[in-house]
Amino acid sequence: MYSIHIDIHENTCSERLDWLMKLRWIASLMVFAVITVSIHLFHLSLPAGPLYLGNIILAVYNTIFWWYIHKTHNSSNQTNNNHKAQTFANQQISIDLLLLSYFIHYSGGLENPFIFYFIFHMVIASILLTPKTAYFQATLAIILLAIIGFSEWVNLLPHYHLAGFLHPEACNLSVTFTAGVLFSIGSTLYLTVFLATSIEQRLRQREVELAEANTQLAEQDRLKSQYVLTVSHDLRSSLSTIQSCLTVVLNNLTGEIPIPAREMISRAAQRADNLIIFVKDLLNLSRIRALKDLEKVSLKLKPCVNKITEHWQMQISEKELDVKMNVSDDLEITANQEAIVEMLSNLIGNAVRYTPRSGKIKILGILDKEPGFILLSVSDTGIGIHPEDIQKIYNDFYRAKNAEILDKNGTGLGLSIVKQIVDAHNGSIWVESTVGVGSTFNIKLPIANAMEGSSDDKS
Amino acid sequence: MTNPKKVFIIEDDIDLVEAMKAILEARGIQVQAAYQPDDGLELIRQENPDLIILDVMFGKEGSTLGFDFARELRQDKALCHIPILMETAVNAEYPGFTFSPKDGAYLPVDDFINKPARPDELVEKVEKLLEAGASRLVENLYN
Repeated sequence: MYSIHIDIHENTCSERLDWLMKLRWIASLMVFAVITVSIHLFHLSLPAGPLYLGNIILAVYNTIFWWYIHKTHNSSNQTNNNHKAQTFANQQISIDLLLLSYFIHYSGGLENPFIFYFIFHMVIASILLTPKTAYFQATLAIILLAIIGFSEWVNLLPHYHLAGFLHPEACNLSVTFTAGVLFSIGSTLYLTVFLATSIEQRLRQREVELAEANTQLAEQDRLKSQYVLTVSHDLRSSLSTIQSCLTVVLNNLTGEIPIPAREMISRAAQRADNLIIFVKDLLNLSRIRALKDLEKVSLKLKPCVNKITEHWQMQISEKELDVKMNVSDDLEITANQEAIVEMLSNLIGNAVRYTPRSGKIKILGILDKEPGFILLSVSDTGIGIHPEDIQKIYNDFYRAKNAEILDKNGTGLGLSIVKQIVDAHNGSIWVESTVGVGSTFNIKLPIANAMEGSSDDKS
Repeated sequence: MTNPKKVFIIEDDIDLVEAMKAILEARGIQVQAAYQPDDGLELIRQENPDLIILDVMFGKEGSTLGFDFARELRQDKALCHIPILMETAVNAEYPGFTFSPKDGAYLPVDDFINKPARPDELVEKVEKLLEAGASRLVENLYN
């Protein structure tokens, strides 16, 4: 679980470093504007040279930071990166404080109301750094301001009075003023850090808790599917055997059986058959859900569609269905073969099952209008889906009423399986349907799905 | 009259073995069985059957005991000619079904049969393989 914490913080930390540097560009522009307006519009007697120089220094070191962070961005060690990002943020904020103190000194010292800009730096420090380091930055700010205040008061440093902004009487610094300003700004800075770090800590903790809860949920869901998988597998084995034994009896291989007995055994065999289909669907569904990564290969779609259509050929001929297939020869995607076959089989199987005699089925496979995607669609002139059922057809075990009337033995898992497979391949599925007229299932799949194990590492 | 053909079944489900036995014996085929691959090997050596029906037998972590055993047979010069019919319940009803490429460039069996097998399907596949004689895979193996 610790690694989750690192991940979140690492991401946020480098993201926020970016944000800090963006803020600094804005600050640089604003400083330039304020200096220019103060001197040229309000005619304040400010030392333009050192102030513009300060702004140039700001722009230069921000450029250097920008270049440095983008150069080292792709380094692999995450924990190390996190540590580096934190140290880097800490250094940047210290340098910012130094520069702000420099600006403050050349623009009136403690009498400059921009002194409260230190608050922003404290908020930034509280967000980016650990609480301890944020308090360290607050202390550094106060020490810098105290040095300015004290040095200007004892004339160690010149005091640049904001003539034209403050009353001339305020020209000389009093000890009460210096101490008063230092106390008020000092307490403000500490309070700011206290409030901001408390909020930030709570947010970080919440983030970690959410991530943990999410991972646990996903894992539990996977375990549940694993459980269903095991259960269905065992159920299926026994059912298969039951059915095999019954078939042997029904085929008179154990000797002639009386007609009433045969009838009862037939019923039992039929129910075993239904159960096998049901368990098979359940098994397929849980297998897809239990898999973390589906193994994906380069897969041509046309042969898959051909084979599945062949598989249903008997029912197609029996019902005299008119099946038209139009799948481009070169349609190829990176996908899990077994899953795609399962998906197509369910869709085409549904079309065959729910289309009345002499109906039409159209299977279309083309490149989608959106580049990088393919579009598969299976249309039928079947019973259609009621609008109120459309949202629910992908739910496990859900069966539309008209489908249930037509075929009592469906499991209500087929479309749920299809949806799972489409999701596992980052695709989308939608259906257009009119009751009594027919349905079209459309599936959009990305052509290049990441192969197993080649997700982020190679980027 | 020619000697009856001998089929050897390796399948851990005793009841299923009995069912298959009934079906095949009704066709005049001699059937013997082992419930574990390990027990099977020695018996197969003794009996020299004309066909082996092998369950895919999934192990605990997705391992396939059946395939491992099939490979073992293929490596054995004395036994590699015996055709193998593999029973599987994995998605076999869907055409286009294949095992994962991890299982090798080719699958070391001659044919698959869906589980539970319909009697007519079982008889058809077994008789076809018995008629064909030696495993078609042998050529590929030692070329």
